[in-house]
Amino acid sequence: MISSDGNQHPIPLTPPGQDALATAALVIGLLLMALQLWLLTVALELFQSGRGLDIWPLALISGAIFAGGLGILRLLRRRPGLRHGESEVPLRELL
Amino acid sequence: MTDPETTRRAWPRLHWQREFPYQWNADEAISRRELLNFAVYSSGALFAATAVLAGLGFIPRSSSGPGVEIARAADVPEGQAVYFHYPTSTLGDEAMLLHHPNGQFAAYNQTCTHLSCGVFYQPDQKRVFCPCHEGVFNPETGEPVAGPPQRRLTRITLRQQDGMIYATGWEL
Ligand code: FES
Repeated sequence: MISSDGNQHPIPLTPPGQDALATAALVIGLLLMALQLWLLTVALELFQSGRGLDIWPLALISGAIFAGGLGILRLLRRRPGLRHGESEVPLRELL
Repeated sequence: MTDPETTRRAWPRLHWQREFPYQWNADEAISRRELLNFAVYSSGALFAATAVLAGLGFIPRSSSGPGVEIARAADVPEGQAVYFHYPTSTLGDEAMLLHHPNGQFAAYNQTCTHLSCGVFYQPDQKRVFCPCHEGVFNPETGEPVAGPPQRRLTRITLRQQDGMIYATGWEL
């Protein structure tokens, strides 16, 4: 990484355990997104077949997944940055 | 332990590595964060689309159309069908009026909800049949019961007045 003073600083390597955890969380998020896509196709099918009143639970589930995603983004923004000498690598450094 | 300077001399950097001097783990960190942002925005878009459909689902989807004479009730024997056009006489508006053995009438658009072939009534087998892929619909409800169709037939609403049956609209 090049800083403003033009010097190259090595980025601290993520501890292997936490790195895998962050990747796993991201993969689960992507799977949930695939679920949302499937929910949308089911909703479209219900709408086309005139059973529009049955769609709202699907919207509710989809909304909950989206809210979870927003929560994660918010969490990442609020976590303090990595300070010198800190042993734990905060989540925002991981993602 | 090997001195880093010695390593650097032994493994001179390639041209592109000098041009883009990011460590591989920094590159990964950036792309993973961006992927997360992208995923959350896409998730929002998917939710919005589902919510719009849910909202539209609360709006009743029956439409009233022109009142069109179909046939006199007495002229349609029980267990038989009369074919007509509704609401216009153009292609795709073919419809059928069924007189069920229990005395009730029902009318449907003849377009199959699978791939739009024409369906027709088979009174001996008590079914509405689509010959294209052998789709079968319940003649009393219009719901699919066998074959590829997943959605019910478009139902045409009826009104009886002075022994005459009129088509008055349709519901999905
Ligand atoms: S078009 Fe009717 S079953 Fe395929």
